Amino acid sequence: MFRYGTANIISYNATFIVISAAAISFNFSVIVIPASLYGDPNLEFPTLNQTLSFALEISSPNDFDTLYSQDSSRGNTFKGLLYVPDIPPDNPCDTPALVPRNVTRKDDLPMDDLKLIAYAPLITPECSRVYMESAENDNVAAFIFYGVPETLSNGTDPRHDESYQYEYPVYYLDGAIGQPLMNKLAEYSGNMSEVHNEANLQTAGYDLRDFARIYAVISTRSTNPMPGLWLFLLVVVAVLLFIIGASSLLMHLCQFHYRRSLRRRIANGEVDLEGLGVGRITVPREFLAKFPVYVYIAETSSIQEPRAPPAAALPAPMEGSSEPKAPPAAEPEPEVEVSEQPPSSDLSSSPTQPPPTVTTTATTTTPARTTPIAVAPTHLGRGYSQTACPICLDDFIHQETTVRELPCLHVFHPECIDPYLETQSSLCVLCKQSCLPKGYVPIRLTNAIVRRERLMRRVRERSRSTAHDRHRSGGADGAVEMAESGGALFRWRVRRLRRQEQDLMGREALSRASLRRSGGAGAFEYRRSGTQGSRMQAAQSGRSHRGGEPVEDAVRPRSLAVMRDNDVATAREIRKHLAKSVAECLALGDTMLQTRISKGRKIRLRSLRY
Amino acid sequence: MSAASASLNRRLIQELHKSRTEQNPALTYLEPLDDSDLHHWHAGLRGTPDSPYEGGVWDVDIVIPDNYPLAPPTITFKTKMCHPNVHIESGEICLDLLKAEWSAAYTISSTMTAIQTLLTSPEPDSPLNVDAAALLRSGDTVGYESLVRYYVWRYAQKHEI
Repeated sequence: MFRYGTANIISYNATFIVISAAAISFNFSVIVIPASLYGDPNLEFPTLNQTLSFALEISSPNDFDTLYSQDSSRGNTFKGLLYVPDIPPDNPCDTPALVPRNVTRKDDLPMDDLKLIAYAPLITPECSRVYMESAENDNVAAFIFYGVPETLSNGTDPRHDESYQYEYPVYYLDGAIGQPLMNKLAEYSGNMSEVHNEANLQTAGYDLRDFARIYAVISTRSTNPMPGLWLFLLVVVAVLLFIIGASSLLMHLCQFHYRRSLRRRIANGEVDLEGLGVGRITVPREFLAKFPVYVYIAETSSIQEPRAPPAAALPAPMEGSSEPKAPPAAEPEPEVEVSEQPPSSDLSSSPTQPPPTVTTTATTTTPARTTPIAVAPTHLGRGYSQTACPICLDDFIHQETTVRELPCLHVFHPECIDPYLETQSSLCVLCKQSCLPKGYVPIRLTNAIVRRERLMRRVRERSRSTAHDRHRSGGADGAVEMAESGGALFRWRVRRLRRQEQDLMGREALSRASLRRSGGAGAFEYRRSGTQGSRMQAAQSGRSHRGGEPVEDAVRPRSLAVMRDNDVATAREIRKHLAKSVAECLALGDTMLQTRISKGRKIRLRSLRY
Repeated sequence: MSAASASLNRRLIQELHKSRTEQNPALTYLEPLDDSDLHHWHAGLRGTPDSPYEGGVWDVDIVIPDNYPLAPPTITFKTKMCHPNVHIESGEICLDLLKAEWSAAYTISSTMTAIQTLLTSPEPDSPLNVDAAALLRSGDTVGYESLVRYYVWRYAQKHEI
């Protein structure tokens, strides 16, 4: 009872772990088991000489079939002595027509504990069940059925309507091979003396008392080379690898997306590249060559002087060298341009005059008509009146010095600004505005840069939102809230605001300096011409009122006045917040911090005055 | 190279000329150490008024590199200076203006003004003088200021003009 249960469990397991041990070849041979030797079943028995006896090798897949395969824990090869399981003699399955009376039975095998392979005809499902049940008690390694003529199997094919619930694999041999094999099995059932070729065997030196039996070797394909555990591990590793691969792919996609969006934003000019701290960004030569180069035209100092008396007072000594050029400039501007006609013809002969098309047109056409137009755009395009190169501090000489104009409209000696932009920085020396064209991404965008940019943006957004919150929540409420939320956080916020303000103030200072800087401690002299300034404002308000309009309009957007105004406005906003935070400090009684902040402001304001 | 050094010398002469004609209120003097060598200057930096540095005058050493307007000058304090961003022994200054933020438009004189501004707006988050920075960071302004005053009195007072 108990044994039956175990067998059931095992077979149950076997069906669940569907691991096929499909046969690939059958090998039948005759071995000799010495009659004297009883005992060790693992002993190797000599194979009977094949020329004298029987041997059969079946490897053609058409000749056999695997009906049911066992799990391969028993090994890939099934070996054993071939025999026909015993069934009750009155059972109709045991027909002498198929199974000869003297076929090798269990009793004919010399030892009980040898490995066995059962062999029987596949007549009907009932018969095979009877055979298999019998074989199970004999501890067989495998079962081989062979097909029989249809007349005996009642026309049914028992190969497919059978459920094999046994521990051993079941194979099927073609009837054409199976029946002769059965007959052979009947031949090798007694001892050597009864064997078919007995005389020859005796002459070959075999002892007639030995047993000759058919030994079957069934090679199975290792369709599953790895045991279940290995397969499981493999599956786990594969899943892990897949997860890793998928997440890595996802990550790379994300990073690619971020990089692309950063590139787009840089191209749109939304990101301050210099602020990212990605090292030195320089201007490639091809961009540098695109910046216009033209001959310096002195500003009409007589117009400026009444307009900006305090500014003019200081630079006056510096302009001593340009004094002789004042008389032609003293006239109103249109006349100034006309008066430039004669020299412009010899300007054209100056060697350093490459890119600006405007000047080259001046050289090709008659000076009388075209020179005003040719010079006017460059002249008007200039937003500032610089009298000296800020790098070498040399004065520009009217109608003689060649100057290069950056996108911010500041002018320099090409030999001064070119090496600076090529080797040091991409920013204008004076206003720190980038000289790179808008859509140009000068660096290789790495993930680190993307991360830094995101962090900076987040900090900026947070500080902006806190500033807004504070703005909304009013002074007293804010102070109370601050007192509740703790001094450290508040101090940190103030410090951050301060730093931001510093940043903005620095920029503002520079832009302001470039707007109306004059004399003093500064090393360079230039101021914004009053007429030009007003003209620019006029252009901004939408009215254009001069000749050469298209060029002017093209130049105007570069004037950056709007941007600068924005900057100043933001700085003002920040300063307002700072003042409020000082008030909050006072409310909190944090005098030390308050003095620090206000002092910082005062000093910074003072420094701006320089 | 000779052309570059010629333009460098021309700029330095311009600066020298200007510093002689226009007195920078932040400085007591500003001139080359030796008339034959324009690449090595020195200056006297005044302490900012209304600050603990008031009344002090510090000797400052200015070394000008060969590619000067493009690269910043190397500026060190010769007189002992107590400041979070100044090394107390070597006098080295930690100021972004003298490093990444340098612009060719700055002159020696305006750089000195910037350094004077640095005196009253220290950046304790990137200190060279850790003790002073720690005082500031912990919020002990009184202690910091008295420390500065002591150093001014002890080292920088004698230059008073």
